[in-house]
Amino acid sequence: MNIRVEHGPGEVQVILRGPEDSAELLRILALLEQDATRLWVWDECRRTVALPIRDIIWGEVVDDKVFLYTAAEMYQTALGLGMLESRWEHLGLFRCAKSALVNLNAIQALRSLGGNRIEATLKNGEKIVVSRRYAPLLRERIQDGG
Amino acid sequence: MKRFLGLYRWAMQMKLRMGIYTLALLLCKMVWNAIQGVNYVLSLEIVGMWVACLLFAVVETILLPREKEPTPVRTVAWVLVGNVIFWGGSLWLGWFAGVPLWGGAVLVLLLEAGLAAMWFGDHVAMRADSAVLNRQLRAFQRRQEHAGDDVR
Repeated sequence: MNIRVEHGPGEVQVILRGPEDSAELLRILALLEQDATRLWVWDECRRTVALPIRDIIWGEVVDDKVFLYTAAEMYQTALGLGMLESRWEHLGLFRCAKSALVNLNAIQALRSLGGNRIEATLKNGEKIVVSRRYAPLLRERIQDGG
Repeated sequence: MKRFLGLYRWAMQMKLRMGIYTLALLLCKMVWNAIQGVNYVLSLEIVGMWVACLLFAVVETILLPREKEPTPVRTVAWVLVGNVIFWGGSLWLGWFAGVPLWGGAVLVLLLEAGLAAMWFGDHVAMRADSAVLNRQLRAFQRRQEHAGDDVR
């Protein structure tokens, strides 16, 4: 990666140049937008698009790739689930299993299951199970967080 | 994929119940054997118990599906099927052969109490817990909404 800094008058501009499907470019975009409420992702045609965090319903890891789902679309991100959660925890992202993440604001209902697990019914009708490792964290989060 | 995940989730829930029933039944058998001075359980008997519990757990998912409210008819049917499977298995496979009258009474009590405890756990305790969870979730979502409004 080449980094070049040029000084000039006017507002600060950052121009990122690289291949459309560069994971590095996507990660840098995420770093640049520390306080952003959107995430740079690839859509199904591998175009780089900005996805508002509030639109994310849930995400999962499949073959080491992280996919995010909205009500109608599927996207891929270069960030890991842990990073997504830590960056946008305040917007409701919550790691609900080793390979899944859910937007707490996109949950329609929760149901207590045996074995200390919780089933979450999402706004798109899908159901995901919060594993017994993450269920206590979810209870803590919705009790205190916000 | 969605269908597979649904089936997988069903199997996981069913197997958990099957495991609970098998363990409980096996424990009763071990106690009965110990009273008789036998300190082992035959593999074939364990397999028979496992099959009975598997059958009951499968029927249970049909009679009392988790996503539906348990109607009195379904609940009674579930209790009846439980009694038929466990009594039937016991008589047919002779799990508790030679048990005296008092032992039979204890086993009946244990079976009915066990079914009642499972029903209570599922339909009273879990539902109460779910209600609390949903209340907290709504409060969380309201707080998030307000926080979002403040930022805007």
